[in-house]
Amino acid sequence: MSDQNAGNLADEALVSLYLESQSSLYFDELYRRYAAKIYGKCISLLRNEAAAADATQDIFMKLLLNLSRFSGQSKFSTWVYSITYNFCIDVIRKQKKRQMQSSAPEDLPDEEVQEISDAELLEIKVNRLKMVLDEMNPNDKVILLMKYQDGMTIADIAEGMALTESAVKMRIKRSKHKCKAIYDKLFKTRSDEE
Amino acid sequence: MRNNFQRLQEEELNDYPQPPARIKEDINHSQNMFQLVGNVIDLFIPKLFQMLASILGGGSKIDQTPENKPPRYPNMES
Repeated sequence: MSDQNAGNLADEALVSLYLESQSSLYFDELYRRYAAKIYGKCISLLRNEAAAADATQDIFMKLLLNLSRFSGQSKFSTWVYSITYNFCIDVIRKQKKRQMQSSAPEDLPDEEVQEISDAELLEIKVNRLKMVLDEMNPNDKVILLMKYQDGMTIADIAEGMALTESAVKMRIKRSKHKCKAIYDKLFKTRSDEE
Repeated sequence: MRNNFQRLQEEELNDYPQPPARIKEDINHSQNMFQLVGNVIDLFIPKLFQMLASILGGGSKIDQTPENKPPRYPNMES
């Protein structure tokens, strides 16, 4: 099969063809589709180009070695992004352990977490959203990216993060609340002064 | 329609540099290594088991029926 034909195939078809033939043509096509996205996500989470390059390489090696475990129950992109987020969170956790930092604020009790509507979150302007996400704890940021950027379902996120669906819902609620709190801190006071 | 999170991803993809070429080269190198190791295992492991089996006295049974029994002495006709 030529490069052009591989380019027309769905991700899931490329995976099964790669597993059948072990031809690098199919894996190369998957690399072409996902390398920039994975690298972008790694830079956004790790904030360091060299670390992001290393992480991207390690993530692709993981994908290569675990392709046979892809069950096809969720979309291939969902599976790839779950691996990417989990890998980056692990890297950040290791870095923090090394730096002995524990600056994460205490979580509020569940009943004190105010429900923020999707509309409220989705109306934040892109440049402001970037600043808010940069301020967020990686675990909170990742869960919002999974839901709103990658369009994953609650079930997909639960599977990707090895959590129950109710735990995912609670985390999303908390993350939205934190996102709004950071937004208010960064921009509300400024606009009030104006 | 794309939401602001998806637009942010698109902007970031345009802003961030392309992944370095060495990533793909390293992956190709590892892929070739895995294939080589796989081929070596495919070729040599069955032979190794055959060799171990024959060292331990296993292997194909020799037909010892009177018609096929080898002559007692090499110059003796069976």
